[in-house]
Amino acid sequence: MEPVLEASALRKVFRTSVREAGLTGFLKSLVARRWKEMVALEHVDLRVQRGEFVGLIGANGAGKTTLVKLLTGIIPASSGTARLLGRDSFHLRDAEKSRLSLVMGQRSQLWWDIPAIDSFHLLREIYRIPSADFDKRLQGFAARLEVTDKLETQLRHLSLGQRMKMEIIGAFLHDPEVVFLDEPTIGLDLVSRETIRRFLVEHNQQRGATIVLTSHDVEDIEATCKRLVILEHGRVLWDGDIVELGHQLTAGRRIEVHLEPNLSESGAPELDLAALPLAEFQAELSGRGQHSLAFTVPAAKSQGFVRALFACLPVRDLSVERRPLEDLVKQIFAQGRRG
Amino acid sequence: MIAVRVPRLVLRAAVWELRKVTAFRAGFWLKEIFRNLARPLVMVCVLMSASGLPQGVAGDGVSLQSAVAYMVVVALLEKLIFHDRCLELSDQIFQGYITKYFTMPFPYFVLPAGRFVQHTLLQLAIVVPAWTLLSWWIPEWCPPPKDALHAFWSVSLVLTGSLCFLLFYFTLHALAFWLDVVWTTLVMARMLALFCGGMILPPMLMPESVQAAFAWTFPWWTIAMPVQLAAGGMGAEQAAQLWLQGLATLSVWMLVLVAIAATVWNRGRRRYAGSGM
Repeated sequence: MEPVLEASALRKVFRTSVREAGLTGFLKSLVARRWKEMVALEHVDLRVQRGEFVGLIGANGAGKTTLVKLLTGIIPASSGTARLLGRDSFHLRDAEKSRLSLVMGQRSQLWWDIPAIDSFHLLREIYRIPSADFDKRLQGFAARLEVTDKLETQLRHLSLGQRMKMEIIGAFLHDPEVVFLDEPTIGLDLVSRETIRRFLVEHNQQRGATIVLTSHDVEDIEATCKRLVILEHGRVLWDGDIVELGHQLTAGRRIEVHLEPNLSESGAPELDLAALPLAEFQAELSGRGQHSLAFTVPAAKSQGFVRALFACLPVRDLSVERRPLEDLVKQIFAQGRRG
Repeated sequence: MIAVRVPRLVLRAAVWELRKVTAFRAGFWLKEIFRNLARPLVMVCVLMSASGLPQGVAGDGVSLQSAVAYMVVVALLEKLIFHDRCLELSDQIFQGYITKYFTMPFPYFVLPAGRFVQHTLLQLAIVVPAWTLLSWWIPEWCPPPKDALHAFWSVSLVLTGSLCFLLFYFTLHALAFWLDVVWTTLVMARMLALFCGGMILPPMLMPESVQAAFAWTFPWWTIAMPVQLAAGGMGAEQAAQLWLQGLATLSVWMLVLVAIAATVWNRGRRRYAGSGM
């Protein structure tokens, strides 16, 4: 089956000017400007099949947004190929564009000074949405996202969450097959985030839309995506099923120990960590506070390790948690940096 | 299909633009009703001050009244001409708001075209009654068109020229793909265009050689000539000939401006990095 999205040996280089500081630097740049090439993406291979829900994460400058821009045809590739719905992304025709949608969390596309409903009517014309479908979808989406009574309010008078919900309604009105969401939950409260996540998951399941979600929030990815792609310095660091990561999650436990503050004269608790049987339980010390310690340990060995902790340390309180996805992502980043 | 779809889209965009310009009452009055009135009125004051006498001679064989009447009609007709501030293209490029339009199944130019239609219809609705009222009230300072045919010749040239101004300003805005000083460029270009079009100084006060040189430019045929045509100071045959000459000149300019705008847009599009996204 032909993939909906395909990147092959994709590379993007931006050329930026370098300006030295101070008056001399300014004068030099007036006469002869120096340029520097910045590699944003390097040899990225990616194939996304119809109906997949892919999470794209990475640190700032990792190349996430550049990848989205290349796949949606906003910018051309320096080399390699980016294809969307079987066609070179930078040369998409209206036929392909009408099956695509893009939501940018940091850039509102609905006009600030007028109610969202006016912009939706323009979108209806642009995407040639039949009136009946338009009305049905608009009412349905507005109800699911709980903004029915806000459709006729000037966008500038809506909260950040309500504005983002309007953006999402606008993006889904034409029932797109491929949707890119670039940090759609940035700055939103928990309730709005949850509503948007639920909406996206339902849409993916009910309509079979392919969704690529870019986010810094690992919780967004965990709650919605089936597949995770981690980018680091323009390269794909990890690409796989989130269930596979889940196995690693369930296979690990994070134990946080709060210690009795029976302090020594120096103010630090007297601890003999060497007495802890870390090797025996394959445990690792993953964090240390003034009166607390954190360990990661395989799930099967957590019970025995907890007993050992009580035996060796003045434990006041202890919690055992499933290892968060964020920890694993950090671990993958760390491994990637080590090469 | 495209022949039906694009005009529909332009009309929908025009409605959208109308909603935008009427979003705030104060903004609507200042930007849509009073725009372009201040400068010609200042020029009227300058002319009157320069003459020293209310009915004196402003130049070589030119009466103050005819010069002032010219500027008053300019003030009215200039409102029909597309203004560089009607476009938000350069801001959208700078701030990355244009990004999403590149993923939509329509040519971006539909939005500026919608703004053009909205602007033209709204300004016609303002200018026609204003001209009628003023020419009835103070006909010596605001003369009416000689007749309906002269009015048609005049307004058709203004509107065709306005389309040239749309293309001209669109191209300058699109320079934002490269430059970060588009507003400065726009202000300089507008002043030049206004001068060439006789919108700052009446052509009757310019040397003949300057008038002949400006007659090669599209602003001249957009305002200086239409005002003279409306006044009807020449024979019908000569006026008809000038109207045809104006349409031909503006059409050639339009073709040139379309080619330049398309080139700048396509090259800029390839250069766009989506900053701020």
